[in-house]
Amino acid sequence: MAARYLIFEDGSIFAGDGFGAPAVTFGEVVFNTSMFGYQEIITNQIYNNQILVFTQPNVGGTGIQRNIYETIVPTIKGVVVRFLSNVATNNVRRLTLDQYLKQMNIPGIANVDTRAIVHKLRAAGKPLKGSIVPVPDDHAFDQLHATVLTSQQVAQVATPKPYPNPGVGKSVVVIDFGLKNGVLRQLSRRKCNVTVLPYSATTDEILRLDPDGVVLSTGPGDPTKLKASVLKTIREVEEKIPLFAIGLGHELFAMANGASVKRMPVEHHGMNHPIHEVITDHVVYATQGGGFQVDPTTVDRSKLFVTYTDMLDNSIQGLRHREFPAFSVQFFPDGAPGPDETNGLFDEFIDIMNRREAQR
Amino acid sequence: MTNDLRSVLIIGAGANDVQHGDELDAATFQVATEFKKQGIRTILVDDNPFSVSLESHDIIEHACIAALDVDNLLEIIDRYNPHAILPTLGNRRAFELTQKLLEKGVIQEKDIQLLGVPDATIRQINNPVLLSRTLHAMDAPMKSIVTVNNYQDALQEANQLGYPVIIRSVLPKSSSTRQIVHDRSELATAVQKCLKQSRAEQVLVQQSLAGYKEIEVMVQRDSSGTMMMLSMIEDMDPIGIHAGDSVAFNPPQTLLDRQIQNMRDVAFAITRKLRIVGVNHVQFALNPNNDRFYVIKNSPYFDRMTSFVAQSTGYPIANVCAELYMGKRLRQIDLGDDYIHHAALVEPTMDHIAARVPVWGFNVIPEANRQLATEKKSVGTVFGIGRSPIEAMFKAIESSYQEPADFHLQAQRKLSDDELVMKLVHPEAGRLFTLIEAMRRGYSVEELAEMTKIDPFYFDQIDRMRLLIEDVNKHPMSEPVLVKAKYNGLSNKLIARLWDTTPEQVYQMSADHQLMTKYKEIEPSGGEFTQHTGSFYSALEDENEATKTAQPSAMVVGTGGLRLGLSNSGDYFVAMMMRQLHADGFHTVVVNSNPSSVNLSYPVADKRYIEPATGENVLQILRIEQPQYLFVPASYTDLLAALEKADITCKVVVIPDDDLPMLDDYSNRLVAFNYLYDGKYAYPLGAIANLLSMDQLKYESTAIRYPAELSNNDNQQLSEKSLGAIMDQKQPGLYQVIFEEKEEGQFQEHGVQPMPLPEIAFLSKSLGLDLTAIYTRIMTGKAGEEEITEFLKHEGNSGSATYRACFPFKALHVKDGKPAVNKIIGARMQFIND
Repeated sequence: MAARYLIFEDGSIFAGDGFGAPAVTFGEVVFNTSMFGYQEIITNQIYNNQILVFTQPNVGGTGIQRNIYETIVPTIKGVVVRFLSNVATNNVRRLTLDQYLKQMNIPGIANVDTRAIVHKLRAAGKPLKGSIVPVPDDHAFDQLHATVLTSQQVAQVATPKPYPNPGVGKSVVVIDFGLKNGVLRQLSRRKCNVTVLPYSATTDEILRLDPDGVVLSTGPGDPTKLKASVLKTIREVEEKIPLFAIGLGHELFAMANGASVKRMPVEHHGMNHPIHEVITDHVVYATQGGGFQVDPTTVDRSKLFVTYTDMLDNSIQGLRHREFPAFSVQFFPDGAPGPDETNGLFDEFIDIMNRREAQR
Repeated sequence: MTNDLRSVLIIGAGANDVQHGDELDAATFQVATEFKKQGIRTILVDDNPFSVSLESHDIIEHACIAALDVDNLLEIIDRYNPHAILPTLGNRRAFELTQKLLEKGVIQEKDIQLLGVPDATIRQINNPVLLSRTLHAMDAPMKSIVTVNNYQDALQEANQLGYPVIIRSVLPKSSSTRQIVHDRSELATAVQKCLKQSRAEQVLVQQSLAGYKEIEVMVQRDSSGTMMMLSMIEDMDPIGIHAGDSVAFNPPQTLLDRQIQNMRDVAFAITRKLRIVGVNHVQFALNPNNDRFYVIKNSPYFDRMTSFVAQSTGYPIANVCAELYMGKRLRQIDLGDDYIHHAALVEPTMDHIAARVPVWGFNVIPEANRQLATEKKSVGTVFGIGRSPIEAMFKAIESSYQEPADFHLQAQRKLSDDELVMKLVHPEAGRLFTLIEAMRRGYSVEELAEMTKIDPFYFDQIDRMRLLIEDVNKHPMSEPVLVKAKYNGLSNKLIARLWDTTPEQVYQMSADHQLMTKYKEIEPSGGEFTQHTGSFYSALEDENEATKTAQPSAMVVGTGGLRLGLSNSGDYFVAMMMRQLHADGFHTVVVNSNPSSVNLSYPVADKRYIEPATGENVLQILRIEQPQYLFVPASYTDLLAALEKADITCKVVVIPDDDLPMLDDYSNRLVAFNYLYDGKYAYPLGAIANLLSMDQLKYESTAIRYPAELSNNDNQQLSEKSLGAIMDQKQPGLYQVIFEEKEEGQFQEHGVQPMPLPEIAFLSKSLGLDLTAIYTRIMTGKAGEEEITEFLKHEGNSGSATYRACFPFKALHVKDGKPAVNKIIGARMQFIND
């Protein structure tokens, strides 16, 4: 492994050994505290524009598996690990994490003090730009400082064209803001007949398919950077069709109903926070990821009520419309990776669609 | 919270054996500490002379030294009227005893609560047939089990299931009754043996899952039904080798998220179904080829895994469970200022890797079969923590063996190819070295994975370990190689051996190149939050998190993994010492690598360094901590030699852990006169003598009584004689003078020795005097003549007591094992009425 460096916009340098592609990339550096499921994490499009630090020190121990990609073309900007394992256990085509990242043109760096990086990111209290470079010279820093990360992240990762994922059950339209395959997996497990539409889909385009329900997918970046027309579409659709919004979709759902979102000083990515399920008073665990949260002071309680909260930071983790059959969660109920405890939300969504049909 | 919970009876774990070390004493101590804080009285019944809890009268109201049987429990219940019984700190036996109490009706009559598990669950855990019925009913994945009561039926079932099959006893009389049967020829013996061991004269026939991955899940549940996963542990060795004999990793290294989540779901479902409050340890067999898995064991009580999880994650399981037992919900638990709000509800995540390796007793029982199988053979355990699997393994090996890894590798080189293959297919203790040697000889990962059923991932790691050792060997005194070696956790001792130099020289070279070891905190959020557990491990990285502890401080080197001879009297002594140091205002720092050790408990140690107790590590930690005192076990001769050579300012006190009782190898009666010596005066502590064995009509070296039965005349004469010998000692301490009774009334003196730790533990409990405490105060110059005199006045008048050692012969299948002081794995004590 050749020497590589993780450099930060504040001038700090972490020396390590390179793996994956020898590309030079730029991105916000964030960390994820999950201990399992690195392949699903790396292929999650929420990491578009981001360099990800794994706090779990050993990454690569299960190679690359054919059936757990969260997207086929990941756009994560870099992978930072303490220790890289070079193992291929896929039974059909042997592929290591290193080889996979090379194929996907994603750089990695190993043998760095990831815990120290986490402490640094937390102390910064704001997103820090970084880059994985072969030489940490002035040129590298100049480039890093000069780089402006795109705010059009959804456009980069969402499908430009509709495509079907046929099934024999309920007809569901999934609006793709940077879809995670876990959502499709959960829907297909429930036999749904899915059509994935681009995030720019209009109300007409959605209604034309006569869906039983609509899912707003997860996705990367800042929801305020999307066109206002997206919010308008959500408002129009939620009145007519059952709606289930996840992650970025949840943030948009909240915004469409008058709330604002705010950037967290330190992004949270992990699966170990206790989440309070308000209606049952239970505690559940689910995968969380992202840098934005719905600002609780801006939620119109006459319109929306809070269904889930994070017990550590009291952030809103779920909302439900008082009038329409529309609900949302900030976390990923499809797991992949992460606990299955909130998988049931997909059943609830099916139930809502069934009830709706019965009422017709 | 339940308001009527004012007192709790804890059923203790009894003598240490192959199944458990002092993790249960450690957990009991911590749980009782929490109870005490909440104003709940604890009544503890146990007969383990090496128990710290039994002597912690400040936290345990009624410590009853009594054999663990129903009659004694009934009497104690009658005497103290506990509001509740806690059966989760005494192994399986506590469950069996609780069931017997239920059958007697006393629990119902007196309206005693059961904490941790409802009575129905107790019955199910005690009866595998009932349990499997429940699990089947809830669709938990189980391999089918059939109960039979004769060979013919067993044969028929085995033919149906297909070999190999496992034969187990129903309601076993002892714990080692699992037999793996590979073909028909082995069946008859196994069935016969297990039938004999069964109290119900029934055996279970079960399909073998040999070769599957063994996964252990630690779940925690509160009374409102909130559940969380504390850890998942992966055993490197497949099913077929007892989990306790395998190298184990926290977190798992070769599992996919979907496998983990599926097992988590099932573990939750079982824990919910059995209505467990507190911890539940669920073991699974996972077929890596098709993701299918089976529940193989469910243990809703504290065990070696609980302590390993607590120590490796920094999540204080025992403290939290104590509050759960009191009826609190997880969300009501406050772990204090060192943790974030709701920390008890945060599932631990690790940014380090813990590797646990077994400690064997074969060096003192060489006649035992070293082959590993479904019955546990290791006597103890140690763990290593690092930032890579390799680093964690190197550290764990360093802690478990006296000699560096290279020594063991050299031994493997002498094996012929046939011998090596035999060892690969029929694994033996210390197999890690065999695997390294196999990789050196060029076996492919596929071949090895096939032969051993170990995941290829581990061969990648093992090969990297091997290549590192070779790299170091080939490049003497090379700085880049040194950097690499230290980064991967190779010790100076190992590098020195490979370079044919001394560890001091390697240290000097590291220092010259500014390779300074850093310490990271074992903290359960992976760095996401600022939390402090006070537990640290070394890593040659950028950031250091350990700073000097508040002064005055005292540092103690633990006695390591349980070893035969000492059993856990070493842990006992160290913990009692640390408790006294604490009481005297010292901040206590411990260096230890035994996850079960009571001295790693939160109330005992302010700071823990999970490191092999080598000169390199201890000196490094001394530089940071600068304690006033350093306590080192005498058996750590390399460490003591290293300290001798180094320039250290603290006062070193040697813990006498290497002196085995001299009461050995004599057929005559021996009497030991014990003294506390402060350097000026010798204070008599009475005499102990060994006991006459009933069956052999000779004196046993491993059974003793206090006080020795002597005529007044003999007593006086021998006392006078021994006093003189004690006064000749240079150092203060606890000493004994040994006499052999050649003929009745004819005694021959055999000299003075420091009191062996097992006997200090026994005598302390017999006299009701904390001898370790006064020893510690003398060694730190705190106890004067007046205090000692006052201390001795508090001697309790408990009558006569006996101590009988236990040996691992049965567990290791050693026929006619000869009891000897260096083979002790545990002991029982009892008060007798003369």
